[in-house]
Amino acid sequence: MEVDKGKGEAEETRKVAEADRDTVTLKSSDGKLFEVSKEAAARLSTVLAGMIAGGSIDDNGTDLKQIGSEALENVVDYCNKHANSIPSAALISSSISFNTAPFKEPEEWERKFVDRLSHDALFDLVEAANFLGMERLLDVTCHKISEMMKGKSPDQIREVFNIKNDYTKEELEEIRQELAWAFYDD
Amino acid sequence: MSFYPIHLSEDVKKCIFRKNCAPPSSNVLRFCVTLINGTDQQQVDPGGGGADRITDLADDVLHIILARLPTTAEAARTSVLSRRWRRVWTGVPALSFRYGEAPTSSTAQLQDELNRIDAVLSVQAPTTKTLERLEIAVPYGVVPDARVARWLRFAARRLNGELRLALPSSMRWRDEAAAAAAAIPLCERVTFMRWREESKEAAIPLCEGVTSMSLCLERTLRFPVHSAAGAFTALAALELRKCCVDGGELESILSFRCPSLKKLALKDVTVATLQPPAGDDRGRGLCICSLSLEHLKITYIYISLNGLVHISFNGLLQVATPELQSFSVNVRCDLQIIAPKLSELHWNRSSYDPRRHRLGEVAVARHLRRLKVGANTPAVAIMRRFHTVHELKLVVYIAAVRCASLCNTLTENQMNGFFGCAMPIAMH
Repeated sequence: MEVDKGKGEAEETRKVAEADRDTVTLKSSDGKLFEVSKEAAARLSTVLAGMIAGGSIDDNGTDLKQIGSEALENVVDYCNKHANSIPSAALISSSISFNTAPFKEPEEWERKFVDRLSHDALFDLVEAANFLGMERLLDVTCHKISEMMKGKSPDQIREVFNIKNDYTKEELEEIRQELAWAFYDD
Repeated sequence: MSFYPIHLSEDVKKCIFRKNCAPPSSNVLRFCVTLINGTDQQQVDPGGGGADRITDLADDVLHIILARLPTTAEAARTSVLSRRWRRVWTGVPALSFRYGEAPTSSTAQLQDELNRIDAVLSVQAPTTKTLERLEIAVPYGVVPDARVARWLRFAARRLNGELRLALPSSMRWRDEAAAAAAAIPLCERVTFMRWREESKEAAIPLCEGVTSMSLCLERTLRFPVHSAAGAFTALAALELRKCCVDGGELESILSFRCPSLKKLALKDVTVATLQPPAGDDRGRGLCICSLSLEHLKITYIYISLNGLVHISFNGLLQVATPELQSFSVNVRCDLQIIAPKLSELHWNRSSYDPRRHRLGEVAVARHLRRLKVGANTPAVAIMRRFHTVHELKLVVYIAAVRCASLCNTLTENQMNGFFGCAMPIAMH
């Protein structure tokens, strides 16, 4: 998806072409350019939708200073995969199964998509999804993180996420008493 | 190879894993285990480069993560992680209390648990932020009516989203319930459920913000038909399990007070009706009439006459739903359906008798996308009712004894042959 753009190209002709193009060009914090379908970008990201509607998309690559190239590549990859995915058979038949699951579960391909990410790449993608207002991608990535927390003790959670415990022993005891109901199982 | 969901009964599972059977090959085993447990959980690699990435996330994002934990207690426990996490959980727009695993041993312990729920709700009550989900499941012991009423009022006032309550009203500990279930045939279990006689009631308040409601209260549900104004405006999905309802009240609510209702599921519901008018020997029953309903699932409803469920009295279920797309039905009573747009029909166990089950204007084009029927002889009659069926799912019921010998003789190839064949097969 990465596009190399020579600087010597005639600006004018490109500007004219831009209006008809069905893709938008996004620029990561480290200056790499990515192209993504305009339709998918507008559908999956409220921020990009707003920029497209407001005409603030830059022909030379819209600057997304907060997003690194690796995360942006994943975002673009997700958009493309999303455009190509067809709802699975399970989802079609779920209409009758009266699924009242609190959240829409990630689809199989979405699960695989986040499973292959490294720890850092996952968090980069969460931040990118949040920044771009991509509700579905944020849901899918947060789902993955909550799976990493599920059923674990506080110590285990600290270990998985490298959280430093800055409480004193007394403070911890105080919280445990205040929230005795939550620590009931221990 | 793609699978359709195949339901294995306890008997079949026992057969597959029986000691004196030849051990199943790893493929079969993996298939069975995935079937029973769902997809296997992935192990997570512990934190990449040693940096704490999660603590830097915005509160809004952390709320999404914590809301996806199974219970509010688990979310609340994150407050001990570090100072940053102290109050994060209080902003989660979902409350979920589930006491599912083991029956609590004493009434006092149950009281403690219920008090804990109330304590958290009372902390939540004064805040102004909207709550997107409230789930309370206490599968054993008796939850007093007053508490149920309080929780329902809390939901009506605060909830903009999903409500799930699963609360028994009768003293059924696990052993008692298991013993009772084993001893009493399914068709008569209705008479066993004591709550029906205890005349316990729960008044369902108007919940204008609730989008999805699932209630299993083992009580008689009273709906606000007489209140002057208001409706379940946002309600898109309604599921009622193990309850009694007044036929007239439910009809009125579904017809006039649920303008957005798309999904309705009734399971183990006793519908109270009045004495049928003289001369109508079939009597009245329930009429589900909705202009918006698209999916309907009815499993075991009992139409009671003057407060009693008669063995000889079937009652009549009428469904008049111009937008209905899918209908799953498993009932004893007579049936009349008008559903011109129907595309998916699940006709479960109950036999089909064209005289008793009248599919009036059903699937006007006589074309179904999916039809699921039990492969007993009357089912052929229902198949004849339609010109084309895009996908046919036949459910074969095999007696446990014969099933055991079948599983003994089936080799893996035959299993693959079964599951991979063009017509998906469900085993019960």
